[in-house]
Amino acid sequence: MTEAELDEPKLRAMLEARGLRLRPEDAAATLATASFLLRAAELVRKARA
Amino acid sequence: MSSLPLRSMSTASPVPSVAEAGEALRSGRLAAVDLLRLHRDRIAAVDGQVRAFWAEDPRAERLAARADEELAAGHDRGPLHGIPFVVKDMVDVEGLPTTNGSRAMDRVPAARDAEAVRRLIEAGAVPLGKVATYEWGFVGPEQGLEFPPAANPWNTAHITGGSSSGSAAAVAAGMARLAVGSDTGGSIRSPSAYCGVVGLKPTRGRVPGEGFFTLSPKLDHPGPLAATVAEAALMLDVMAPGAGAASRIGAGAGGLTLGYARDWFARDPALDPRVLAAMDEAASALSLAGARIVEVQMPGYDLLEAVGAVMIHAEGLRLHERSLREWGDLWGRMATQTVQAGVVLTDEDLARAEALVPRLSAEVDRVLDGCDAILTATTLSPAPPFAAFDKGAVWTPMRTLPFNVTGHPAMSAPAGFAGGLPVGLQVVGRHGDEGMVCRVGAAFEAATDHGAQRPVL
Repeated sequence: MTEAELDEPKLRAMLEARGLRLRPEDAAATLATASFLLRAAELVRKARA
Repeated sequence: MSSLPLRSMSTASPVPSVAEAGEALRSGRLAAVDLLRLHRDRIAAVDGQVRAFWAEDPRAERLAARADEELAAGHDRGPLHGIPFVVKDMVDVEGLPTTNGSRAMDRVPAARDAEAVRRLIEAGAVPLGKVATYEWGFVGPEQGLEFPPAANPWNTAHITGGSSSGSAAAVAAGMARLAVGSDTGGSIRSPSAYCGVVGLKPTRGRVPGEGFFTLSPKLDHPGPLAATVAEAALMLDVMAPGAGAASRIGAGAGGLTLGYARDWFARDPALDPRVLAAMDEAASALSLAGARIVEVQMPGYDLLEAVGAVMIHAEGLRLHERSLREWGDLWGRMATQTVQAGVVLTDEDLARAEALVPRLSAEVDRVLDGCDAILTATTLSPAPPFAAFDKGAVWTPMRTLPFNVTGHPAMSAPAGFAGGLPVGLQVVGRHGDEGMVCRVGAAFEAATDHGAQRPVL
């Protein structure tokens, strides 16, 4: 998954698939951190390429 | 010149240094039980403002009395004999629950001391009790948890940094000279910088992690926080026999070549220019003390940060998934948000990040081939106010996480003030050479008066 592909419904579904719940009040902050992590993972991917 | 603190300050410590106390204990002018009482009185006097101290160790009185009896009988356990210390509440202390700052943690007392704590007690040190941490060591400060977050002794409207928040605050406030902490991405060094104390993240694996809560197995580094470099070195030598750090104190900076990684932080838009001024002054002070200062080029910060972030978050979710599933309602919001965000990372992301570690570590090694130690900033700003966190977690810029990734020893030492709040100089050494880090830190401390300043509470 890339940062551009991530949105709140997808994040919620990923968490629910693992039995975890995304509280509505936590959605924006969790999404922001998840976006940062996808950018970080992409940087790592490029460095490994 | 870096600005002076707004809070009134003093060079007088509320409790004696390890050296002063040791001399008084051995000459019979002070008993360890009285030294313990002095610390407890200080905690009682100032903890209402600082909120660092969480739980008293019921063994303290007995161990202080034992220290007195042993000295009277001629049995001296060494420099820490009879000296009180505090422990971050992510570390097991026999008879006390390890809360990790979370309501989701059970309250079963630990059956035994963490190995590093056991070694300190074996060396005669007296455990005062547990001090504050951010929840699970992840993120903070957060209001509304079981314990309110510790406050910065230099300005209690500002944060301490974390996650060894109570360890740094307790030392800065003069509740103890020594504290046990742990550092996964800067959790010893950043609160040390924000609170104006010394924090030493040793080489990875140097201090045993047994009895420390695991946040990220490959990035966790237990270590000491202390009022001075010499005291941190004494503590490390006990927590990790063979480190040989204290023996290097006093050797000075003469003849050393120190690599100043100025470009590594000076171009960051998040940098507070007063921090840059303090770092330039620090390099000048070490130059005047006899070191040769050369500017060095570090590996790219963004990649080091990315590798560390992927490792912490990928491992963090795997470690905490069950707790979140079963007791998520007891978790604080910031920790929940931070840990659950790791769901977007795959096993392949983690494997790729881990595979880069040897290369990045070798790149830092190459920088250290040309110098005895690296100088850089610990954090890029002084401690932010609590108010900045009213709407949630805030990214605080620093340069600490790369050395959790590479495992190099790194220390933060007080380097002056910006807007009335302390800033820290980071000294980074070769793997296994905490002695050099302490030598440079002590030479810097001796060349300035930053480390001697204490807030008046």
